[in-house]
Amino acid sequence: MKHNIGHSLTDTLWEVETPEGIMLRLRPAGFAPRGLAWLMDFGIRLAVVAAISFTVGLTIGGYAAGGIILVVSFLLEWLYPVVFEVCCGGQTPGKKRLNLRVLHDNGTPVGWPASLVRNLLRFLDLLTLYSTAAACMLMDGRHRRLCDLAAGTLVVHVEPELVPRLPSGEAPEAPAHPLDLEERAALVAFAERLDELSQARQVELAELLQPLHGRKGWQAVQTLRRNAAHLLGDS
Amino acid sequence: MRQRQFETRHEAEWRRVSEAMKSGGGEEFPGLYRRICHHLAVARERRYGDGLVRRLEGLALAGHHTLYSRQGLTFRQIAAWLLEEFPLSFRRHWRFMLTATLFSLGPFLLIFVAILRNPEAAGLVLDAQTAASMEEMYSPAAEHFGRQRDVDSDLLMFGHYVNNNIGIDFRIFSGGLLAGVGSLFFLIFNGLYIGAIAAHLTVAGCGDNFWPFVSGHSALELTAMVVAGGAGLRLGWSLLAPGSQTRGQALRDAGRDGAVLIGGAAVMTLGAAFVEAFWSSRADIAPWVKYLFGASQWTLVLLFFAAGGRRRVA
Repeated sequence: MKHNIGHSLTDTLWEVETPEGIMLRLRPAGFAPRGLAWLMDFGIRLAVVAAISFTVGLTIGGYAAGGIILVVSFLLEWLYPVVFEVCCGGQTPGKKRLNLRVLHDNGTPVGWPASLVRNLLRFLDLLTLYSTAAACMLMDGRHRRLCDLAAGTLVVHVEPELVPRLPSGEAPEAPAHPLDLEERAALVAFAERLDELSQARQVELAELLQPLHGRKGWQAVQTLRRNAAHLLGDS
Repeated sequence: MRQRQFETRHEAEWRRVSEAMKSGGGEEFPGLYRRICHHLAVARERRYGDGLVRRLEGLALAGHHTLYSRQGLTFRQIAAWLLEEFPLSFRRHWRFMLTATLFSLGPFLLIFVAILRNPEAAGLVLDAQTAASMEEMYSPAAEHFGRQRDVDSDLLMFGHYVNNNIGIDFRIFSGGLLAGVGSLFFLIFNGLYIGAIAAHLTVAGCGDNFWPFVSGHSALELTAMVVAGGAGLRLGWSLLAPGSQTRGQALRDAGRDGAVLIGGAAVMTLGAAFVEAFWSSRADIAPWVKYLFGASQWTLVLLFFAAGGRRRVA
């Protein structure tokens, strides 16, 4: 069972149900970061071919060097992404830099067959200078290239591991009226996101809840923070 | 239970999961992972703060990744793929393989006969320069043949065969996504090209060098090309006639089969590159030995596809 969640038209979040019965939320990566990752990988490949050509040309030389360079460039052209994707947790060096990861579209790590398919069929994208890939990614709700469709894969953003949030230090204070589950969640979410908002915006949002706390200005924000601390169970 | 209580109660466990994932799991990991899933479900149900829920989501996702990642590729898996799945998949898709054969063998025979009857016809496919350099390589006067050879140039040619020939297989396969037209194009083109060279060299009197040269690696290389073509056609057909499935589902099935087939084709072409670089090019082996070797290769390859995978080997 997989389906879009939330505002399906504007949101690209993708949920996958695991055998453990929970929904994993994946964030498919779009055209720009993937293009950048590809460019980086391309640069790395060029650099490696150049470096190896240089070394081998100087040390071995002759026809044998040419043979080695040809084999190396073959491996880099076709198998570089496959080996990295399967052996390094779905990440080529470029994808790692941009925090992207290739997964099967059921959320499991990509394996040999799928990675082989999505990377060998890439030749077709190359023929059209990646315009088909770009068009396909822009049209698909999960930003998949045609090769991703054939391989059953998905490129997602990897989010850094979050650290636990420390208590705010505010003295807890019960809200003036009992709140239902939705309201409590909204209050906690507000308190958690305060750092991301400007002070004026904090006040503006807090004053919307005047019926609840009856306060104005900065005091309104403080009261809501204390309420949130109470709901979270800070002591 | 308030969120803070929940956090203090399980914090140690969550840290242990983080640690276990850094070392790739371990025996107790599946249990830990199920606990994380449980905590995530509880946290979502109780509408705990977004920070906590997202942290647990991250842990669950990473845990899922750790739990389901398969380590490497074992010898057993490789054997099962090459010796069982590959020939089985070949036979299951015999219609596509037959089509690919017809679309490469047909043009081959057509141009071959045409050039034998009228040598001028070679100009349809080969430009004068290619034709001349081919003649030079396989001319009875050449000491080495199959492109001019110096002593250590075998390695260079091996590199060339790997790069060029396996690359061609991959291109044929990927052409399948264009509703199979790309695969057909490459198959026909290669059939015409190989046929034109073979006929041209025969007419030009280089046959005594050319045919023993190609006999050794032809079995592996040409069948691999057909396999790549068949895999490509399978892709194309899944788009044209997905049957009772959606096109997306059909394409994915074709992709899965394609991976097995194209991987096998690549390994065969790698073998062909070895033979071509280090055996076919040797002028000191009598032609009849090369013909015998070539015939045995053809027999083995055909036997492999006819009977391979009937019994479990891995």
